[in-house]
Amino acid sequence: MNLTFARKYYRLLSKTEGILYQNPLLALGLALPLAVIPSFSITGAVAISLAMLLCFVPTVFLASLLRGRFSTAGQVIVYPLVSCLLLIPAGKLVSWISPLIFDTLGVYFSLICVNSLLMFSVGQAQKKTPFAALKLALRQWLGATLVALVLGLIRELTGSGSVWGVTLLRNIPRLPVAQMAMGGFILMGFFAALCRLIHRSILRFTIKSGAALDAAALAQNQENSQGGEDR
Amino acid sequence: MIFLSEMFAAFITAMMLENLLFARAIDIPGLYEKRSPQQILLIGSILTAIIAVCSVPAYFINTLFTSHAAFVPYMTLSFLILNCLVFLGSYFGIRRFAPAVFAQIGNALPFYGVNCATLGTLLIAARLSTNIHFSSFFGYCLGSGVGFTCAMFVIWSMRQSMSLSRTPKAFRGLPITLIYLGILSLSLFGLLGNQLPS
Repeated sequence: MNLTFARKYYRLLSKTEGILYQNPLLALGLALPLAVIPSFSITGAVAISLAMLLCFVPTVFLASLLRGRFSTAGQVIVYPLVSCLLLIPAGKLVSWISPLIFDTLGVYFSLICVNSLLMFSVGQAQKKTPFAALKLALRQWLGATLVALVLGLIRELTGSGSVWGVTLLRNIPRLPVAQMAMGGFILMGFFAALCRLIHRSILRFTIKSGAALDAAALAQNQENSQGGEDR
Repeated sequence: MIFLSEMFAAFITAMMLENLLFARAIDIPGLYEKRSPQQILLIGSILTAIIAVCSVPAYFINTLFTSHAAFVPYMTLSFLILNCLVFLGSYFGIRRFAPAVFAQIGNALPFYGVNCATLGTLLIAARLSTNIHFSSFFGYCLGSGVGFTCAMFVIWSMRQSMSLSRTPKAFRGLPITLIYLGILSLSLFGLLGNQLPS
């Protein structure tokens, strides 16, 4: 039964590569500016995620369509420019979330077009078919969005006691530091460590259970062989 | 004299108080990789040179764009094009005139030429004030590059210290680096004050 659990866990890991397993933010430390600063509230995290969906995913897909056409130097020019062009319509869409969203996001909205996740994924897309690259981009985006939303939720709740501007926690001490850069760094560090700890614990559990089952099977084989000799 | 004092004030602000990494969380790919101090100095010098060269035309673009509201949405695009042009110039310049340096970091050079640090600095400097003087703009861009190089040295020294200490397994690598960055950021925010970067 435990081995079944282990198999299921590994299947889950392989299916969620880029989302839960090898998350671009928690495992690789990519797109740090977008994860640490705009995720001071869930509104900022949603706005950045939406803009990334519109800029990042099509750019990576395009990179796979045009794979092999550009050198590395060409790639860092062409794809950020494509992403920057897509940022203009994305900005209009994101402004529907909140009229003051650009004041709160500041330059971080513009940094979507040159973030390290885009450069990394463009490099990965060079080795993939367009469909596989699209899947990769969606997984990476989903992984980044998941982390940004969780961070945004925790930081807004602890910093101002509200979620999406709606006050949920009253008469509870606030922690404004959670909404600043240092809060983002520290929370993300602990979050990355927690995810790693959970992963390691599951692996240790499966290895132990696997070893226990192997020992039990070995003992049973020995008993069977002894019984056969007695007979 | 006023030019120099303004430039110095902006330089110190960008380098220390509003450090790209500690105060604004702006990094570049591969920052946490193991590197030697020589490589860090080389990368930092190239990055600072690219930002400083970009800052000169960027100041005039910013002056032009802020006076015409219709152009403002295209400011990022114009700064990115400028950044790409300066990067191309430096890429081919290094390849032509400093082949030894190019051989050392040639593959990684594109990632240090166009990234969040270069574009972010230009955008932040442009947002500082609408009537900012050239000296402040240039000083800020120069200070950002130097500050980023210093931040990379700090990360390097932290990694050296951490390699000799017993860190819990779950915290090794990226998590402890992020927590360390957070604590350093906290010390800078003590000087900067309680405000969100924009």
